[in-house]
Amino acid sequence: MSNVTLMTVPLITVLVPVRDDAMFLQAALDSLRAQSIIDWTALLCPSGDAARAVASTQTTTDSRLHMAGTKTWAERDALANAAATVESEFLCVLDGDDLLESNALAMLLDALQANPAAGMAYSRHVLIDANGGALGPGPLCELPYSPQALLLDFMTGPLRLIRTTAYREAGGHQGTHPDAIEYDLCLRLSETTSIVHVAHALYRRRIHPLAPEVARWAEGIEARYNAFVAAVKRRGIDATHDCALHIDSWHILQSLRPFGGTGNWR
Amino acid sequence: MPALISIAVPIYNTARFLPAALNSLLAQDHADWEALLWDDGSTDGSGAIARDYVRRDARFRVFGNGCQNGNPYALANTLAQALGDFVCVLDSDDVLEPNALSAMLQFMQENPGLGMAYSQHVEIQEAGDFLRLGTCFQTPYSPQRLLAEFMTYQFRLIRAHAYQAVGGYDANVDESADYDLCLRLSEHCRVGYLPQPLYRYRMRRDSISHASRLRQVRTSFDAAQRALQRRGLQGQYALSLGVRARHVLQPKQPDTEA
Repeated sequence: MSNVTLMTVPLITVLVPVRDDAMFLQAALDSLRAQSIIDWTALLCPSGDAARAVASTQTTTDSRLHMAGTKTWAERDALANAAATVESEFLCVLDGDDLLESNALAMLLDALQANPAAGMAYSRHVLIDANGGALGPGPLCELPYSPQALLLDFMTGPLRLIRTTAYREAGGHQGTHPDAIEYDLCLRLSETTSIVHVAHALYRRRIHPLAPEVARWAEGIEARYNAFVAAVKRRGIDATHDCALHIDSWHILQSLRPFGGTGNWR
Repeated sequence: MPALISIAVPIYNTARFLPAALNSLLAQDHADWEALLWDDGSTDGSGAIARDYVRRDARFRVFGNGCQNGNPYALANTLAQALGDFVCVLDSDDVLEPNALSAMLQFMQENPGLGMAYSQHVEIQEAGDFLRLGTCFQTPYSPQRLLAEFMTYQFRLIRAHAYQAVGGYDANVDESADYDLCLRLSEHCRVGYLPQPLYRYRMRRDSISHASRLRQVRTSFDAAQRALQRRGLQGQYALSLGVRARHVLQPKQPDTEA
C-alpha cells in the first residue's frame, strides 16, 4: 500500500471557533476524535489571546488539529478567514463549547452523498448545561425546512455539513451581521443550493452564561432580524411584503426549595 | 371637596394623536383634574398643540426643557409638580374612556386600603378603531406574580402619598419605568383591580423600535431582579428570562396616509 492516501486532503474540515478561556474545548475535541469516520481535519479559530493560548496547546498533541493562521481574528471574521484556506470537499463548524455525537459526521456525510445535488445537510440537536446535563431538545430544529420557512425560523442548525463548493458559491461566512453569521450563511445557502435534513440529534449545544445565545441574546435577535430583512430584499419579496419582528418575553420565577415547592410562575 | 387627580402626559412627536388624548381628558365626567403635559423636545408641532390646550383650559399645564430626556424623566418631573390626591399617566397617543377617572376614583374611595388600582384596557388601531380587549390584566394580581408578569397595566390610579412613599418614577430606569414603579408600589401597599375597560391603547406600527423593545425586555427583567433582591427572596427563588423573537412577513398595506 502506498502512502498516497496520507498525502490527500482530508474529506472534511471542521472549523472550531474558540472563545474566552475555552473551558469546554477539550470535551469538544474529544467528541471530534471519537467520530466513527477518521477522514477529517480541524482548524481551531480562536478569538482573543486567551483562547489562542488554550487552542495552541491542543494542536501540539494531535496532528489532525491545526491553528487557523497565525493571527487572532475578531470572532466575526475568524470563520471566514479559516474557511478561505479549506481544501476539503466538505466543511462544518463545531463550536468549541459543544459536543458531537460519535456518528455525527458520518450521518451527515451519508446524507450529502445520497443527495449529490444538495449543498448542505443539517441535523437536530439537544441543549445541555455547563456540566453536560440534558436541558431538552434544541428549539426550532424539528420544524420542516424550506427556503421560505427559513426566513421565519432558524431551523438549520447548529450542526451542518456543507459542500465547500456550495459554501463558496453562497459567499461563505460574512461579517455583515456579526451576531448572526450562521443564520445569514444558511439564508444565502438556501438561495443557491438544496438542503437536506437528517432527523437525528447529532449535536449537543451547551448553554452557559458566556455562550453567545445567553450573553448576547438581544444582539443576536437584532442581527438575525437584519439578516432576514436582507434576505427578503435579495429575494425580491420586499416589493409585496413588509418585514416585522415580534418579541415575546416572560419571567420565570422558580422556587429553589427542595422538591420544587409550589412557587413556580411563568 | 372632590378629589383632585393629577394626570401626567409625556409627549414626544405625537401630533397626530395628541388632540384625541387631550380631548379625552376634556370629556371626563369627573372635572377635578389637572393635566401635567411634558413636551420632550418634539419636532412635529406637538408642543404647539399642547400650548394651545393650555390657553383653552386652565387645568392644563405644560413643562419641558426643550430636550429629549425620555419618558421616565418626563414622568418623574411632571409628577413632582402634582397637586392632586391621586396621580396617573395618560400616554399622548392613547385615549381615556369618559368615565375612566370617575370609575377609578370611586373604586379607590370604596377601598381606602388600596394604594393603587388598575383597570382593563382595549387595544385600538392606529386610526382609533377597536382592535381587541387587552390581555395582560387576565393574570390575577399578586405581589409575587408581578415579578413574573406585568398585569398592572393601564389604566392605573395611584394615591399621591403612596406614589411619594415609594419614591415615584425613577428617571434613570428607561423603557421599564412603569413596571419598576408598580413593583415598588406592590411592596408598599395593596393593589386593586377594577374589571372595566377604561383605557384605549393605540397599536402603532412605529411606536417602538426593535432596539427599544429589546431594551424594554432587558430592563424589565433587571427591574424584577431588583425587586427580588429588595424583597429578600433571592435565596428562595430564581428568576430567569424567556424570550421568543418571530420574524413576520406581512403583505404590504395600502398607504392610508394623505
